[in-house]
Amino acid sequence: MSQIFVNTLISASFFIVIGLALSLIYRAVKFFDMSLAGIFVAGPYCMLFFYNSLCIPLFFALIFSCLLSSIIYYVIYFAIYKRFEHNAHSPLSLLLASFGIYIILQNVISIIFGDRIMTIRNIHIQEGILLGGAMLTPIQLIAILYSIIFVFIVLIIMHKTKYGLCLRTIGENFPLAQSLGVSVKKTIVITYLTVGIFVSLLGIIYAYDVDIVPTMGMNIIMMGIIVMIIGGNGIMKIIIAGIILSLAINLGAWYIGSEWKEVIAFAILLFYLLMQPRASHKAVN
Amino acid sequence: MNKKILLIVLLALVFIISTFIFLDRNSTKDHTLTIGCISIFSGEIATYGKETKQGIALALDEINNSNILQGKELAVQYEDSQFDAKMGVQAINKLILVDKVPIILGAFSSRVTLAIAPIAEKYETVLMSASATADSIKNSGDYIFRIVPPNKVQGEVAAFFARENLKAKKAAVYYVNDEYGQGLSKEFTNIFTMNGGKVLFSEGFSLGQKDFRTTLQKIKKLEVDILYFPGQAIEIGLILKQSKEIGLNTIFVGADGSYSPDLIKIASDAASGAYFTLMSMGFGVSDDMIKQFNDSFKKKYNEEPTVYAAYAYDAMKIIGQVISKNNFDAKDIKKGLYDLEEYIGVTGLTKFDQHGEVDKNYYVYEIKDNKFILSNKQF
Repeated sequence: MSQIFVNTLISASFFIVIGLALSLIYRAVKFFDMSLAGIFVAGPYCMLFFYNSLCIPLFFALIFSCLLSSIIYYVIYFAIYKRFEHNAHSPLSLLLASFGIYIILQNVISIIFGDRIMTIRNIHIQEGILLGGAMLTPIQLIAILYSIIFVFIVLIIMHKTKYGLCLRTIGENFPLAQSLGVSVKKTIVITYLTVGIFVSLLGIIYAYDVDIVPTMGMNIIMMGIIVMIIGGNGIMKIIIAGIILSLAINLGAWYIGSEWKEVIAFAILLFYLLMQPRASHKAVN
Repeated sequence: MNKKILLIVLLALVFIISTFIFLDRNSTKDHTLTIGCISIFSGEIATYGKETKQGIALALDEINNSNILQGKELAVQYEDSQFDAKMGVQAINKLILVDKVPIILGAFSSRVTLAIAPIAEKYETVLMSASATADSIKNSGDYIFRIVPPNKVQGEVAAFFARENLKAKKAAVYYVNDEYGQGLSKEFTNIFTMNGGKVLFSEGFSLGQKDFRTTLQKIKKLEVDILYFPGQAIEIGLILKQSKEIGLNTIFVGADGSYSPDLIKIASDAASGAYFTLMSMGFGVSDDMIKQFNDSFKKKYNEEPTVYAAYAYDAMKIIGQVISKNNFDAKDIKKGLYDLEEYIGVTGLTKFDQHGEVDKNYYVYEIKDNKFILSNKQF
């Protein structure tokens, strides 16, 4: 059982970071931004370019990769989503546009790097660390620590900074925030750049664990969306939703079979939406 | 105004496309015989398509230089299935209805071959696969051929190898949950248990799955002697990597679907010592031909040929031989394939039975020093 607990923590750490990132973006622009899946993939491919191809030292390669991915994400907002806002498009149009952007990003990566699986790790595969009867690799430990740090950063930003207050206000009532003089544009820019950095870094950690293919982003974003819908706007609720989803998936893999993971995840979402009609209404809106 | 512009653009497009079609038709020389090929040229496992193409191109050079087609030139129209049944169906429809080829080499995988076989059968076009191994392809129709033996044989070889050579008593089976993996796991389980072994665990995984740790933990607890895991290179590579990370120390036996450099790239040293069943080469039957093939291949591509390249090469050579003796027509080619005397190629003897099947065997390869090496523990 200790291994199930550890496996739950590992996958929950990815789900929570993505769920929170989606939630931050949702507060700012009011739609599920599927193009975040492309940024999740762009991070590791930038890393592949800077670290493996240009042989830049690891630390600088990480910084360049995260910054470049973050800039790409902001450019997407500035060049595309912003125009949609001007034309008063519905969240559904923006959702479809974001899906289109994800497809474009994925295909551009495929064209540049190819579809074959790539690896950025150049370390020997070693047996994991034994922790309380469960095995854990160093990179998985990093993933768990990273998600904890990310949660703390989000908590501090949202509750202790002016930017956090602005974002919460925009999330609660957009017209009111504008009328109160909240700098909406600045808040959105900061949100996109910050989320871009954190999600691309998560993608790099993920790639160190299971390597990279251009299509790997969508699955994890879907899990993030499930976590976000179940968790709603509350940070703690998203964390709990991430842990519950991860636990259900890992218990399912243990007792039923690993090919049931996605079925279990979406069954949980359906169950939640059926039990909470208001949540589905909220999600649609 | 806008409508007028749209109409002009549409007319211009129609004109350009028509011109291209006209020029393309006229440029096709009368002496060119075009056949089709469906393989995986893009996507995560595009290496298979590359290997197929290399084998075919080498065979094409030899056929066209030998003049066995009496001045005519053989050409191949390649189409990409992307390892996706839907794309395979689009590809075969294009090859049959637009390019009007009488014979198609492919598909690479069982899943695509099974999807396109009814279409080939319906339009009476010969389909010959050099790598699809699912058992059910046998009953796909009169126009369907393959030069590889079915999974039934591969599963048997793996089970006998596990019982006789590795002396395994307890096995776990973890397979890719499609026609290919299900067929192999079923055959392996039957033969392994019939020979006194016990299969303590059997479960499928999805194509594209990345995390296998929970299932591998379950297998670890069972302390099995071997893990039989037929699947594609990426998933199998990740299974080997994650097995090492969680400390699952057992003997791994896989199947031909994993035979790819990608597996070694993903699993690196964690793949060392794993065994894989793979289609046979004609060792002891056509050693000189194998040597010549290896030399020509290395000269042309500056790399070692893979088994898939060898099978594509042989399939192309067989097609060349049959076309040289028959009309370039699907019915005649089909008859020519059924009437083919024992063809000796780099993959051994090829002789089609009434189902378009061949009687060949599988060998066991072991990963050593990051390479697939023919195992000395031969079954």
